[in-house]
Amino acid sequence: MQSIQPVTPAITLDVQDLVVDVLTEHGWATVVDGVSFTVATGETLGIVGESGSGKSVTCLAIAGLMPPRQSRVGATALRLLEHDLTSLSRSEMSDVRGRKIAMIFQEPMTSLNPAFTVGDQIAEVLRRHEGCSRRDSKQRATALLDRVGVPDPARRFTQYPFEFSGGMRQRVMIAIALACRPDVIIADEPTTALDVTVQAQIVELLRELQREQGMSVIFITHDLGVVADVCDRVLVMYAGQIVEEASIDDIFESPEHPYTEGLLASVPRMDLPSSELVSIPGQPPRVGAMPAGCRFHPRCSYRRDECVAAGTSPALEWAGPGHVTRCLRHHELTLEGTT
Amino acid sequence: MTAEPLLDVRDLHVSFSPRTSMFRRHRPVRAVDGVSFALDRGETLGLVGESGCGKSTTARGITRLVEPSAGSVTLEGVDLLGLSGAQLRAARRRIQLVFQDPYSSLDPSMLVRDSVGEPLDVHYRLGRAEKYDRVAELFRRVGLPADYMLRYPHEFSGGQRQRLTIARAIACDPKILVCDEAVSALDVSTQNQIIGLLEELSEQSGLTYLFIAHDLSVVRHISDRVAVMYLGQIVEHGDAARVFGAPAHPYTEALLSAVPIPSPATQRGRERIVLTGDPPDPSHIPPGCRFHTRCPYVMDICRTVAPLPSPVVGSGEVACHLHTTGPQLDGVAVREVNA
Repeated sequence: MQSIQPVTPAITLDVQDLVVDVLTEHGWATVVDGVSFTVATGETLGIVGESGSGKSVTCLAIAGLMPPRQSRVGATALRLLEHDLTSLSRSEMSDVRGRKIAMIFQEPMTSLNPAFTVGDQIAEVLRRHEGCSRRDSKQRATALLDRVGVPDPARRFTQYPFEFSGGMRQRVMIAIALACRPDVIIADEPTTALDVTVQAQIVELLRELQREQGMSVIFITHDLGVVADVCDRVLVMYAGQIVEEASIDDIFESPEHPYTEGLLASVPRMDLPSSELVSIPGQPPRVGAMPAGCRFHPRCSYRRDECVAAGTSPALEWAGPGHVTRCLRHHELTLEGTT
Repeated sequence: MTAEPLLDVRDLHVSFSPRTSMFRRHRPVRAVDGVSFALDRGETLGLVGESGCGKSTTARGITRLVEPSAGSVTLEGVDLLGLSGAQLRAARRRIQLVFQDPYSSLDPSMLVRDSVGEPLDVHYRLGRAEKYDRVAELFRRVGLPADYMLRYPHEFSGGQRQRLTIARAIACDPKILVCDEAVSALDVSTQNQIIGLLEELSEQSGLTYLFIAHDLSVVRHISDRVAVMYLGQIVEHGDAARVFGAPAHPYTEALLSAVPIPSPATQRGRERIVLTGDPPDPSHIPPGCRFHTRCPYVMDICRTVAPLPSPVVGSGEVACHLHTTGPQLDGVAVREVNA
């Protein structure tokens, strides 16, 4: 008789206790402080938070893209499939970065080189990482352009980035990211600079490609609408830490951290009658000036003395299956989600 | 008879003539092509559309930061387009602009006290003490402590900088504030704080807004009326509740459906209209209805005849053949086509 085993999904990326320090004018400051998470194969993980929360730095550090002299990156584990990313040399990391991890950024104009044709930039990736011949790489690059929905790919192959619209440039960036069939795509605000109509197209394209190729996606965004649309699971970051992690439905329907509740409440809803806009009072703390106790306490309407006391910095606690929160009071609080 | 509106824009045209090069003849770009609307005192009109639709150019045309090629802009009975020199400068005091990027709209080498007080130097002759008293009062009105006056822009966060640019814009008591993506670069919580400030200013002093933004949920919240632009023309306008609740133009319908709802359950169950392609290039405007190349309801007549505005049930007007020929919707919501 076969024993019933719980199905554990295969882990593509495993990040444990990631710490990133950057050099500021006042010395070293910690901008990512003990971030741990995993990404399952084929899963889309959303990372949300305000600007300065450390969401982009987390991903740059994973991809080995933090500037070496101005930053220090440490982690107890940083594994991508069988690779230990902490032990790789720069050139090995560069190889992994093309073939296993690919990145898509917000600004498709600055991520493309204006002096080379779009086709050359896709083909270069294939020649460098896959060792394709010139002819092969051209053929495959044209096929990729076609796959990401660039009309008339053979002609577009020979054009320069300035001849492409914002949405088309982002499609080109996706083509470059997909060129070596990576295991993880890190998309950092990929639709933020685009019109909503084009955003809908790009989101749909990413969804299709993911289904087709089974890759994992880390989707960094501040737009909770996009998160609701594309993610399976969400990390909420605040002041360099994960403050809550849960499945997409749990995070929206039953948040367990006051910051998440505040974020959800501050998004105006198009499908409900117009109501008063709510905002979280104050500003996130500055780098190098973290409040004692819970980092969110200066802005939290549920704060008590225990949240403010130094030395009681809350740890991530279990709040349900697959759900953790960094709030001392989460047992007593009933927080409001969205419906 | 109704009172005359505060601002009356009639048949505004703005075109740009790209420099002719030796090899190619460029067509003039009709960025704003016959836009008319009126603004009553204390009212907020939202202007929405994709990038390149001419919404920002409309704002710049009204304030004569670019020269309109035809039309009239009447502010309190005076046609701004006929003014020059000192008269124009005096008129500009009554209509002010707030831009998106509070990082580039403040001089980094000037004390914010002097940046905010600069319009007072231009428009009034005040002694130093009196001027700084006024600046302190402006700081109070936008919710900044007066002792921040002796700081430089880099010491302020994005939201605070936007408060500074608003303080500067209201320094000379304008009647109308044109907000061109004024909250788009801010985090949602900060964004709501700034919108709260704008609403407060309007309640206190009857300030009137032309609010331009690509974020439709924000526009819906702040606007009394909304106008939707496509390729240099207004395709639909009306009360915000009517336009968002029962869009009469297929473009408005598609635009609204592309905004993801921050609720996974709702978002999964929504029917989405994904428009294909980018907005056409304003230097090659399609014949007939400008939207026909992307319209899911396109009919033969749309390819040749430009539709004229017709009334919409509830409020406003729409320029679409569906209402007059074919299904003859007669001003009801475009979703009735399928019903």
